[in-house]
Amino acid sequence: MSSDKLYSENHIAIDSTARTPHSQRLNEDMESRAAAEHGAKVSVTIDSHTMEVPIRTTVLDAAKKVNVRIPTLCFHPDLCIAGVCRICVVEIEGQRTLQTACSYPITETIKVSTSTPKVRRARRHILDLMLSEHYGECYSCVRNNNCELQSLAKEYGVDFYRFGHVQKPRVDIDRSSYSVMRDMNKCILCRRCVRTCIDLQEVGVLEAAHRGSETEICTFMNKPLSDVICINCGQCINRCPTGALRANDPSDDIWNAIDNPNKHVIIQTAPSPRAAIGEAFNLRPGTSVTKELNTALRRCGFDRVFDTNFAADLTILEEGTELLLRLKKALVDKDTSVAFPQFTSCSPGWVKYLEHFYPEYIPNLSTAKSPQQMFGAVMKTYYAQKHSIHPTNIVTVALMPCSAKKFECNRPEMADSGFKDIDYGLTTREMAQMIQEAGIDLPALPGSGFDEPFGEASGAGLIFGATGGVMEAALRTVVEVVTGLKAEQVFENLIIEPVRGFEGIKYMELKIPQVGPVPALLKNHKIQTWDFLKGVTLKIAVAHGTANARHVMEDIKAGGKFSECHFIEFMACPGGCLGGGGQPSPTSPEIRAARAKAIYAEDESLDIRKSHENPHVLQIYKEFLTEGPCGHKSHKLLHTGYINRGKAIV
Amino acid sequence: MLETDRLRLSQEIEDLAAKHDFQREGLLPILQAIKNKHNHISDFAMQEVARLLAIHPVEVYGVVSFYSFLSTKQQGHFVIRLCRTISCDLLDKEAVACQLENELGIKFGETTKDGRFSLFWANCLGMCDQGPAMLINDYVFTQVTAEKVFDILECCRKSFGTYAFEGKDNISCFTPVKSNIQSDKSTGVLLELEPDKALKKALEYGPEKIVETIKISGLKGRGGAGFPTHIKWELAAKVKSNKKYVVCNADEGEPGTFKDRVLLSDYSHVMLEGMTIAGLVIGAKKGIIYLRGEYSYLLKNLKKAIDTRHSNNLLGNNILGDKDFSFDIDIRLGSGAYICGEETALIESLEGQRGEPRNRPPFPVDTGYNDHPTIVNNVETFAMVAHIIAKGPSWLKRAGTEKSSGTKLFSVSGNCKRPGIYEMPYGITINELLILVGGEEAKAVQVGGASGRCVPRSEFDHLIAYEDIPTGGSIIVFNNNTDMLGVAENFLQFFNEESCGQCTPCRIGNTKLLESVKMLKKGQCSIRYLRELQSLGETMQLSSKCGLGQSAPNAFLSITKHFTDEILGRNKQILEVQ
Repeated sequence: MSSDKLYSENHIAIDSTARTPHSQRLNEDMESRAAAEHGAKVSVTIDSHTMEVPIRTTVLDAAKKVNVRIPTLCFHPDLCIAGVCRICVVEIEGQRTLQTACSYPITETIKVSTSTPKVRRARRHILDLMLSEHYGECYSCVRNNNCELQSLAKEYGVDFYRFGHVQKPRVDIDRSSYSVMRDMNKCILCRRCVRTCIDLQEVGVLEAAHRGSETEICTFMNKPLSDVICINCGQCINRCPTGALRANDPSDDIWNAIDNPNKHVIIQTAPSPRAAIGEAFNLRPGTSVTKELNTALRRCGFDRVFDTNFAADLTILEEGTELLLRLKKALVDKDTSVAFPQFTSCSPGWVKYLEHFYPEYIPNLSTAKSPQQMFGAVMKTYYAQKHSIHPTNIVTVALMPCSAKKFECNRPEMADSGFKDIDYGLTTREMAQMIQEAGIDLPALPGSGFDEPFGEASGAGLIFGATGGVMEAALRTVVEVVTGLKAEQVFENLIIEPVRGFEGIKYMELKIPQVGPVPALLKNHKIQTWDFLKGVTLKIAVAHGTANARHVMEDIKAGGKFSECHFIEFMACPGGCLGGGGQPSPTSPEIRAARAKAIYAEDESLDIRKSHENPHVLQIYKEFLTEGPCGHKSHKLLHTGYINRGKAIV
Repeated sequence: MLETDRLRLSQEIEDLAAKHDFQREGLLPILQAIKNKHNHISDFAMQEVARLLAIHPVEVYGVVSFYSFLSTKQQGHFVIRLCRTISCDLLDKEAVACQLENELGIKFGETTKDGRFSLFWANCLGMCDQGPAMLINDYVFTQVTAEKVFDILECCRKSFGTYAFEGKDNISCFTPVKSNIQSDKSTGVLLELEPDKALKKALEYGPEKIVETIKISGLKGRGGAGFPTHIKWELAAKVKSNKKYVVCNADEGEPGTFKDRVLLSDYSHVMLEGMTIAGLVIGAKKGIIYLRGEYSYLLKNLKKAIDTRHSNNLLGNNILGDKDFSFDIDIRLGSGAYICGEETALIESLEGQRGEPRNRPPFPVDTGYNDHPTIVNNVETFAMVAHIIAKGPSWLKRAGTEKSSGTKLFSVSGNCKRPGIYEMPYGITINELLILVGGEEAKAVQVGGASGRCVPRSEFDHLIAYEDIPTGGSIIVFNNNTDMLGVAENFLQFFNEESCGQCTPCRIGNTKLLESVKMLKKGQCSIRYLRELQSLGETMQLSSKCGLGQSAPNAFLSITKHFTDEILGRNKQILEVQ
């Protein structure tokens, strides 16, 4: 069966500049914009290189093409132009003042010099000024050796504090959040976090406040992060050039647990860290180190190393069943109270975003816990029983690409077994730090597999790491379960192209051509037949980054196209988990694409690529969750509820 | 807060937001109205505003904290703002300040326990020729003395509500604002002009000929930057867009400048006529006057002037019977931010943002207010245009130099016998001007305000003109008793407060310069470090984002250059004895 007959795709372009603060946007002049649309070119000379570039190319972009390095700080490839740090100043012939390369659009022939006495002196002065107000010593900073300010200081030969140096911290560190720590003493006011929070994510926690020498980056009324509407996505951390923003690091507690002989310390690793942790060891982005990481974790002293993908497979069965049950209720039982579309719930940033901004849609959220939490619940029950370890002696650590997972594991409702599902959420960065601290050279290690009994997982669980991955995994299973066809017959090589890629919002329709028998696993739900799904066109969508999520939600509110969807995958972070707030800095579209490539490649190398074919998952339903997906026990341990948080800041 | 109070406030804010179509452009007026009524903008109010305008609460907070006339903290019924800028400083504002603190029993920045009075510093109220000046809510007090302080406060204390000064213009403590025009009014922009003469002629000419006329006249922007007016207008006229705007920059905040105040109060119709002509040239239907918050007392008269022009068919639809020409003018108030005099910051402010200058290019002529082509001109420039059109292209050229044609309004203050407004041709030397104003004793003259430069006696033969020493009109005279370090400190304090704070060179650079002046005062600054800072000043001039940052070090650089003997070698002990 040819795949293109069955489904159609639709990538939706949405004008997302509508709410961008004007001061931080690359303003566009109409004449040259019109010229750009006609593909006009313009000649530019940068130092000794003369070239033709499309009109409106910035000086910075033009310089990159000829490998002329211009330093930047406030510039970030994911964000709109600010032009505030001024480190990228260059001299343009005929201009009285220096111009910032990041913001200067080339609309006529110009001659640019990037290293003149004026430019060098200005850059050095600007650096010296930043350093004079940047409190803290590099050797006691989380970003030591990975700090953009530090690298620039080295590059420009800073060997003394020309304009002095602050001796005392100006403000207290905000440690109120489970996820994000703010040390504004290190802030250089590049405003990347502001642009991340307001434009990229449209969450709006951070903004510049006051003015002049009093200017600072603030939350609303300078309240602690835990008191404002922060979704803990940590995208600001990834984009902070210094150590002003960082995740709340639990590694000391984890070391203590490891060193305690009475504690059985289990770590589960999510797919995205494996594709990114190599970056912290100077490997190229997109180098997957799954097997080496397993060895490293054992050498660090973890008692068991498990694969989160097992729980991802479990999630697919629970969440997929939930979707089918909702469809049955709506189509067979004609129950109008069933909420559609069903939203995924594995991104804790997205979940909190919805709880704050769209609490009226809480019924749409799948009640399935995220893989992290499901795994925790399974470990403190099934695994504990099976190995006769008391749950109080089990310490569950989750290696995640995510800062919001730290908040998620501390949600009070995440302890249905009577014990905290997950004790610590650990980010990729923190894990890399622990490995380095243990004196382990990750890339040089021999590889090893995961521990049993959760050792093998499917490629479907693996691709959870990329935007569209949850949807792809769900479709691989749902299509097969419902139609009785092999998913490979519907999707060539099991690749579902329409949900892949970094388009902000993806949409796909899938017609169910035939139905097969209802599998035994679902027998408890008393579904006799899938006939009600025959001929139904399944409409699904995928959105990543909360700004895109917002567009989808607004469309649903307005009764638009997305309100007719059956299932929508939302991820808080741009790119999905692989672009998570716990991943190594820096981040950029290229880096995220490389990580995605690694994840998809690993998927294709696996034998099992569908969640419902994971033998361990089937076993747990046989031995432990005997009522099958969405059964009573599942509901108790693997599902959860949500809180109407609202937008009021009190 | 009681639930009923909340509901009432919520309704009030909703009404305000509805007036502005729930658009972000309305943010500043909404916040001003809340502040005026409730003396502060509460957490709840900010969140309500955010909800109604569909923006984030933190964005509202960012804006509130940016403007000095808005406040999240409860302020008194009477908010007293005493001008601390150099001209008032020379006229002994310190005595007034001390007396205010004594009488009220609070320090600057505080509010009295009974919630009646709050005391703040203000940066240049534009009353430099009749200081020390003080603002109480919307009321301006000039020539305040320590002795008058008591009477003024009594007047407030005994009033019902905040209407202390309604109809009390004749009370002894109240000195009305004077226009203080010292030169004769027969030269240029101060000439009488019939209210429709220029406009009639403009309609006869049509856009192209108007631009041509301005071009021949050689008119350059009177705000100080000196950009040829005809080029700006021509560029804006050329861009195709269904909406265009004419903005009048009446955010006169440069220390020592007060000529726009006089134009706005005595010559408003000339300025309004100039704006209308601009609308005709670029094809705009709407003009906006951005009036600084400190001048809100002028609002009433300006509105009246606009109404009069409406009833005379000089504004509104089908102006003077021309069915293709409609133009209207709105007034928007600033909220105490000097930076909003920078044209792109002004536009940001109009859009309801923090007044932070934009990256340029592109320029407002193609991407201005709400991304539409916008021209921003100074009050005096618009007034000049009306005269030029009325009197023909060669009129302006009668006076001035080749590169700086025409006359210029100077706002003269400081140590001189006859402070006030002078209209003089460009090319006048500083010496000549000093003789006119009675400042022959001067040891230095600050030309161009805080962002201008300090000219020493040895350079008094220089011309005031775009090609020599340019200025927006501020002339501050210093005599031998003035401590030039004090002057530098005052200006740098000003820039530390008034910088928007977005770019590094301006935000931190000004802090470093101010620190060094304080060190120099104590005799603790080495010449090596002073030289570093002079070099830093040059970097600020070259690499700051906007005109404010680029000109902020001017005063420091010229003072440290020309008055080395005076500023170096100060001794700590001597200072302590003093």
